[in-house]
Amino acid sequence: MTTPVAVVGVGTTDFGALGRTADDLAGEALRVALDDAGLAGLDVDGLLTHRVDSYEGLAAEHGLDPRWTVALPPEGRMTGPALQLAAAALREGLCHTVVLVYGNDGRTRGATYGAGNSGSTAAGEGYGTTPALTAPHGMTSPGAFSALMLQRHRHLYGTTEEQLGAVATTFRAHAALNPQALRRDPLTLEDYLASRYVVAPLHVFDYCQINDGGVALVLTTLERARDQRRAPVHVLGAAQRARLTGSDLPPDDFWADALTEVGEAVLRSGGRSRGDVDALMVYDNFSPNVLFTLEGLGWCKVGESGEWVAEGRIALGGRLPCNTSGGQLSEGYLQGWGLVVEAVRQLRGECGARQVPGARTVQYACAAPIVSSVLFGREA
Amino acid sequence: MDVRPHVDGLRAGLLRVARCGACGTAAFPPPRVCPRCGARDTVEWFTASGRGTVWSAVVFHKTYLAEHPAPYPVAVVELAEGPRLVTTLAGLLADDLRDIRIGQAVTAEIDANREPPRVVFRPDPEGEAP
Repeated sequence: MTTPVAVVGVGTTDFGALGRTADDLAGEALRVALDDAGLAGLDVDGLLTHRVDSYEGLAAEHGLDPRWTVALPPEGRMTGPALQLAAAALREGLCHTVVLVYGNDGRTRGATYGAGNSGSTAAGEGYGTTPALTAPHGMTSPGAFSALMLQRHRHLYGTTEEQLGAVATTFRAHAALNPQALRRDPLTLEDYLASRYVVAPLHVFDYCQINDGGVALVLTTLERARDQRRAPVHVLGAAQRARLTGSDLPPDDFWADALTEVGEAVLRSGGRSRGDVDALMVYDNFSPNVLFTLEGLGWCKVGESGEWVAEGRIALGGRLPCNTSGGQLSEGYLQGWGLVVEAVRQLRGECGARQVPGARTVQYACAAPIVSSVLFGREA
Repeated sequence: MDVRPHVDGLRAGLLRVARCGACGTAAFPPPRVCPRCGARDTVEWFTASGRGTVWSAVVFHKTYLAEHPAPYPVAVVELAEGPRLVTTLAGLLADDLRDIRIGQAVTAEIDANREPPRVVFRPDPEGEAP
């Protein structure tokens, strides 16, 4: 990237069942992020909103008249693209200080991701375009789509329930070190295997925690970032690749081609190699996506992710700590934004008991019908 | 995407799916532009043999919607002609995923009396598709 861009402020609200609106939560996160950056609303000339009900209401409430305003649809696959877009606007000089603001009241609203209220624009709340083909069969949940992918993966490569269970149990152990996480009770592999199925082969612990919460980030160009109170966290690269054609059905390659492309793109952009990545924040709406992401990014060979995660590599202290906050499975489902904030906090060294020692480069990645990745670094 | 020819076909007892009329790529539901060759508006509907294999399958243990009480299976079946369908498997103990074998040969049965009508697939007694 030519003009370097950095995160200079992050803000989060409480997570859980809060009985507040998405916009109220987003607004609180915005104020916290601005305070974190040492900025005021009048300093902001770029606004990107995600999942809030009214970008207009949010801007009016918080005194924002930006030169650049974008409102994105509610799917979590938009989080990586949101960061890419904001960074591009800054590099292009369209604005100088952007706030990215996200609010989610899915828990209070009674989102089910299968029977309504999720706010998603995707067909029948599952992936795809054509509910006329899927609804008559009761195929209405995105979790079931992930379950279909996992069952295919199991057939091709022999991935076991025990191996997949390492994802949920590892992230739960990380959540125990994060006071903000919603699910902090210990979870053993035995607990996991004994738990109920939601859509088999997925157990209840393979599903993220539907949640209320707000997250905001402040991004600016590096020359301005040097004036802020926090050490800047550099946005080293951001890339996306859609897999929207054929999205009514699970992809043959588990999105590996697109993941490989975006993974290579962000490393190239940042002048880094995969070996430089100290931690990975991986979109875990459902735990199989962690396996697919690790394979697509090249951390293991295709088909070997089950074995890879079962051997402790994604745990704190392992080769590639993943979702050190507990992720969406255990910290709470914030559609990627919680993971992005965790990347920033790791690079600032603020993570306390769950800190990855000496973390310098942290990657975010999302496997979905829009595959995306963002690379963050302590150094430019 | 426009799947009315498929739904109307089911009402008439036919399994109609689509491919690109220019390059023959199976594409269902049918996009107006073929993702492979880029041809526009060349969707070609045809009646499938009804033979296929299970590509993947799951079992819902949670009831999301009253009209679909759990447990029930959902499968992706790949037709002999190439297109894949989200569907239901018939004639199984519906609550155990271990009863569903990926690669299992299946044959379409059209349930035209339902509204909307739907196609389900029943495992062939012989097992693997030829």
